[in-house]
Amino acid sequence: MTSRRELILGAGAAVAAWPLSAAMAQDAAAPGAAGPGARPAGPPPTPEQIAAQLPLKTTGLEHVSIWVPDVAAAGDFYGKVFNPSLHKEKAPPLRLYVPLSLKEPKPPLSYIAIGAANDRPVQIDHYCALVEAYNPAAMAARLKQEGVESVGRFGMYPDGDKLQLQMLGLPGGLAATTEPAGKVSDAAPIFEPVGLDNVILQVSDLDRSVAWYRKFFSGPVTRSGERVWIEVSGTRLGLEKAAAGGKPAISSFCVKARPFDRAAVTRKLQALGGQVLTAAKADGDVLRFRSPMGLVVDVKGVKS
Amino acid sequence: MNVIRKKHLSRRMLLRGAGVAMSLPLLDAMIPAATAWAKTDAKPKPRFGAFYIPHGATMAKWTPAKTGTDFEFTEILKPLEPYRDRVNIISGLGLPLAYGSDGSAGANHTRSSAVFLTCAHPGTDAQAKLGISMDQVAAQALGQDTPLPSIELTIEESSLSCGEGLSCAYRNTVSWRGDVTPLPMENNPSVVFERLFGDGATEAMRAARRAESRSLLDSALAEISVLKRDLPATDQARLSDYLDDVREIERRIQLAGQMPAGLKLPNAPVGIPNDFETHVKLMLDLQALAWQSQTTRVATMMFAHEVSNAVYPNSGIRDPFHNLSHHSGVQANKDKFALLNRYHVSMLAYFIDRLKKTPDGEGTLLDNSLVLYGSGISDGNEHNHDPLPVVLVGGAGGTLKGGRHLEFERKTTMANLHVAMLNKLGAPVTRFGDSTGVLDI
Repeated sequence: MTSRRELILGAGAAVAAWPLSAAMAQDAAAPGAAGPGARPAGPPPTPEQIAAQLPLKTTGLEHVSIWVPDVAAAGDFYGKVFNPSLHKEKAPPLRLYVPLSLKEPKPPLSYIAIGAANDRPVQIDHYCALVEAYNPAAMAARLKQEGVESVGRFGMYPDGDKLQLQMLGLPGGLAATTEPAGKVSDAAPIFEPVGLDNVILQVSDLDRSVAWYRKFFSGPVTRSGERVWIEVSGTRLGLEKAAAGGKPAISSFCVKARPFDRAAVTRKLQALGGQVLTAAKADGDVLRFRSPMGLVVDVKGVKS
Repeated sequence: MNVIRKKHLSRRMLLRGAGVAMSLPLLDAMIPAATAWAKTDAKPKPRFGAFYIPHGATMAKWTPAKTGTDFEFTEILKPLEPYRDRVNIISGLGLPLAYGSDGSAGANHTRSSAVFLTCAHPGTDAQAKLGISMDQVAAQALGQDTPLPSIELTIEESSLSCGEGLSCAYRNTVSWRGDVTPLPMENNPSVVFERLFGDGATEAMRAARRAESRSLLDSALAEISVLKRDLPATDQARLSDYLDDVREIERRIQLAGQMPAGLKLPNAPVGIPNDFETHVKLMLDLQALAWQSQTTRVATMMFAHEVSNAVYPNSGIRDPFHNLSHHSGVQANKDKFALLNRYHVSMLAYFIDRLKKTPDGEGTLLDNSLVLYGSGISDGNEHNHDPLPVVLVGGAGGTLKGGRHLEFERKTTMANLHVAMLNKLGAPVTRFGDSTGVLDI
């Protein structure tokens, strides 16, 4: 069983005890270190345990991880947009976290993890779902039955397009390997975020991907135009067919925020170098912007 | 041990002969052995083309009733239906700067073509002054490593009457390299052919070859033979298809230059076909060849100038173009104008079909192209500039989905579309012309 570790969030105050988030620790952890996604030593899982892994008993999508050329610049941007109080890994290399909540968080806390792209393309590298009673070994065995092997040490499972879903045990959240990184601004952020709403995947074969993700997520499936939505416990996974000749990708994510003045936030985003995209009328319920790093983010106003 | 044997050609290799300097299509031999297309310099860059059609359209028969992905193609756009998964119909856009203090019909026509790609307001000084057009911004991103940064094509001769106080430059081209630099558009296929495939440094040799009525390819036969010998079978086939296309177009140009027996036409330039459809298809084929060989990646074409009274017999409509656009609110006239609109769209479909059938890297030219087709006028009877008939076709190198009708807020400036297109073409602009943002397309 994964040990619980103290989490520090806010201006140096210890506010909650959460398990290690392997996603956040991945760049800092020593080789061979075991996170919740890794397979622990112990008795092999029983057939019943293996069979019970899918579909997931999930509380929803928790975080997204992005790769950018300049981690500090991205932290400055996303901090000013969503939450100026950043967190970082205690040990190098620099990896920043932008909590998607301004208030004292109750688990699960959503966040954006920002890592260095190095020589890799700027991208959303993976997204994560939190799982109740997560049994990594049983999950690995169950997915092996589907022909899928975990990638790396942190419970990362690529789909047929190599888009990575990470699974972590509840309650998730920021890890003890992190610490407050100070504030990038004393001003209020542009949005008041309340969590992650959805992640959109551009896939090569829509039907195949829908079938694949139905193994994981048993929530209702709806189709809206070119997009298929799968409900994931208050969050959503969106699947779209990639443009012809285009690469499959985790193309965008959407943050829920308190209702906002569209014109005002547009001006503020543009002042930070963001590019607000004008949606077609039919898709106009979110504000979509492209960050200076080139990643697309949606923000959806919610009242509660 | 695996030994990789593969002849490697430079992407920039030219086929040379007397008066010939011809770029080659993308071949497997241009890719380093055991290297994926996507990871090489030879990975195809996007191509961009803008087609301008004057006088607007019968909008009720242009705009689909539904938005999103489950729209039905309208009567006018029906020729594009076979390419549905590459088509985006863009509704609600306008050209605010095409309106002006001179509200005369002539001025509105002239400003329509001027503003279409520039989104700048035409000046009324003696010297034409506008702004860089978006195709030229695209050429700055896509055309710096090609023999020609861009080509500008048209079907009609230059207009000489263009509205009071407005330069004819505004009506004769949609492409501007800078504020005071309109780019002349070429309507002679033989000139375009020579520009694309002839060796500009040796006019004497080109003239001699023409005088001998020799094919341009004949001049390069020896080099073609050597080149083919060392290529793998797939490349040999691809090169043969390409050279066959070049020869066929050259033959059609030569035919176009010949007068039918017994027919006397005054001073027709050599190489310009007598009828629109032959002419436009030749120009479209040349443009496709230019894109295939990456002689250029950027092109603009005007199917006609504003106030053109061309007649298109093959459309089944005998009314002059501009006259028919003034439908006087009569439904029968609107219906006839829609047939003419559909005919013009069918010419676009001819081009799109050619792109779809042309291999390019791991896909087709259509996958790697972004084609804009539209007008600076909405209703020709009103001379208004919103909502404009606009359609995009092509995958823009895997960055643009298709099969959608996207409706934006009425009167959204077209400049916002230009920013979006430029971004997809690799030009990281945030503003263009009178843009107020960027469309999510």
